[in-house]
Amino acid sequence: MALFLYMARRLFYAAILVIGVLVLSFLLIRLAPGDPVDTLAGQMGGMTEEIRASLRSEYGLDKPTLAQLGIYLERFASGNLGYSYFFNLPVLSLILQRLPATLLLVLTALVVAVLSGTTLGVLASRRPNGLLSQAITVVSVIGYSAPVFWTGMLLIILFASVLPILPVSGMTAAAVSGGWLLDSLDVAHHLVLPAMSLAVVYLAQYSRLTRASMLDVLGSDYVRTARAKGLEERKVFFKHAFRNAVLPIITVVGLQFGNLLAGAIVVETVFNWPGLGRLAFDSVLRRDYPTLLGLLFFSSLLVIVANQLVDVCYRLADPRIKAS
Amino acid sequence: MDGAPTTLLDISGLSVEFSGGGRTARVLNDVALTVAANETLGIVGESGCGKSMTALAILRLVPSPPGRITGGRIVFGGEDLLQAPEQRLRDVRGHRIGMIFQEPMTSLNPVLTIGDQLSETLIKHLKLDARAARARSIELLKAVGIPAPERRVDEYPHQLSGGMRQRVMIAMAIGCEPQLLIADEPTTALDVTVQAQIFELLRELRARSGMGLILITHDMGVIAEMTDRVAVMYGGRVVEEAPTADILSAPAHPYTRGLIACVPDLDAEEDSGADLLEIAGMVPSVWDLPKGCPFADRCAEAMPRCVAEMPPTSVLSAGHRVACWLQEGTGP
Repeated sequence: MALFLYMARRLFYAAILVIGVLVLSFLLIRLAPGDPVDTLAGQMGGMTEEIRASLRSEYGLDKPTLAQLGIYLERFASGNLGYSYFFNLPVLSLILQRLPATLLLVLTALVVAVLSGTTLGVLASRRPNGLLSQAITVVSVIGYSAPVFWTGMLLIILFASVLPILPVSGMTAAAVSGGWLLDSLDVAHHLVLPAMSLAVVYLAQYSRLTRASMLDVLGSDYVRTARAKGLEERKVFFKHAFRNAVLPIITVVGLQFGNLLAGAIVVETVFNWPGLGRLAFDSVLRRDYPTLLGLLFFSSLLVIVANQLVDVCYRLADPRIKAS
Repeated sequence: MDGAPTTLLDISGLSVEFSGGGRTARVLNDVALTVAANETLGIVGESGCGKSMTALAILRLVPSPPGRITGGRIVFGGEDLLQAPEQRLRDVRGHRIGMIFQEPMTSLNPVLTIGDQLSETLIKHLKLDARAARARSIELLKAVGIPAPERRVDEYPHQLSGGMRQRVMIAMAIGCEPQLLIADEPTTALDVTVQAQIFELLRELRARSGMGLILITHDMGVIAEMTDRVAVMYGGRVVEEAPTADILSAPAHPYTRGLIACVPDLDAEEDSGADLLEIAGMVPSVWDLPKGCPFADRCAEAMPRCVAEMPPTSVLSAGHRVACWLQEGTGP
């Protein structure tokens, strides 16, 4: 019952949050100069004033901004995210069509970053002044400071001209359709570079965080107790220290899920990955308001879901949370 | 050394150094101690005198870096623990020597159940299977006076009070029936009433099992009540060691006399308005120990020689040793 109430309250807050995101995004987008009709006109090589005016009224752009917001929210409440000005398709189907590609990219990057980041961090904490530890620190600082698009472009140069073994663009090779196994392998092959460039920043952060957190925990009284019990160092490390050191990492992973989505925009653009990120990038350029708002709605939804999952993980990892 | 029946632990010449920032501190200096089976040795001294470090050094748990055991012998059961391989030492830790720490609030792992933390020692050392270890854990919890042990065994440390957690620590330390138990200020963090209960429990366990007990404290009252012999530590050295009765009736070192004088006397009728006594001055920093007696600058009876030279150890009577120039050559 307590859990049910808790979940109900969380859902209520999440709904308020989503509406807040929509209203704010709507207003922010309108603040940007230019409108969809101008952009369309530019692409079509010019347009008469009459056609512009009729398009504006067709899209409802001639109404005051607040009235437009009202109409949007009203439609949103009935599950209608509107039509894309550019594709002339329902925004919802446009997004659902591209969502799997983004989820695949982001989740792969996340899993790679968390697994290898924590592993490296734990290894580094075994000898805090050792060679491996210092190497990890150097690589982390580079990985952390390098912008994602730059890492991505370097990887493209490396794997397109110097060592052409990985595809640098798209999600599938044009001609492949040889059953689900070959298709999956093909997607995985295309996934390597984008996922790597997205993961490297977070991998760097997680390895540093894990190292610091492990060193902190290794100096704690309960680790001394574990050693005084005669446990093997392996057990001290993984059973006693790591389980505690992982708590701050869970928190940071949750907080950064939004950043990861933002990073996906850049990576998808650089690697021509057909996901939500590239759609977002293109929609901004096209002033495709409904698509952009739909994307922001889905992003906030993903972040909220990620935070809920983190909450569950936290409760599983730390028995003290249930009590409070 | 003084013909104790069965010497369990014999420490001699133990030295520990800490290094950092290009400097070296001698945290323990030529420490010698013995403990016999069925005996309680008290180690007393102010914070930073090296008493906890001695306890950690016995199990080679000195944090390293920055610490390092630089010399000495710690003979336990005929074997020098300082020479033993790490693997061998892990068989001693928690099995033949149990240890209880000062801070029950932080000494238990917050994310593991009480039962898990008790069982793992039993599984490791006594080769019990999980079910037998759990049954034995419940027995141990009962033995240290925890009510409803069948329920407590599945709880987490945060669900227990400080006193209960220290009982769990004790249960953990005695689980494998060690020959020696080291208790490092086991009650400092606890209420006075709980303190008395914990000491009662330790006394009972010692009497029942015949193990040796090292009790580290800064409280002379605890020493008087609990111990058979006392080692007084100061500045990383044992400055006086004697049977408890001798220390209390005829303390030889000025520092020991100071410690005893500092215990407030609740029965005192006259001078009831008098201030509590204290030993003037501060414990010298381990980074900057003097050449001579470490206590010289706080000692009312200090002589020029005390500052210049470290006093040798004099034997005053059977089992009563002191390192002080005042006592030089006064032995039997």
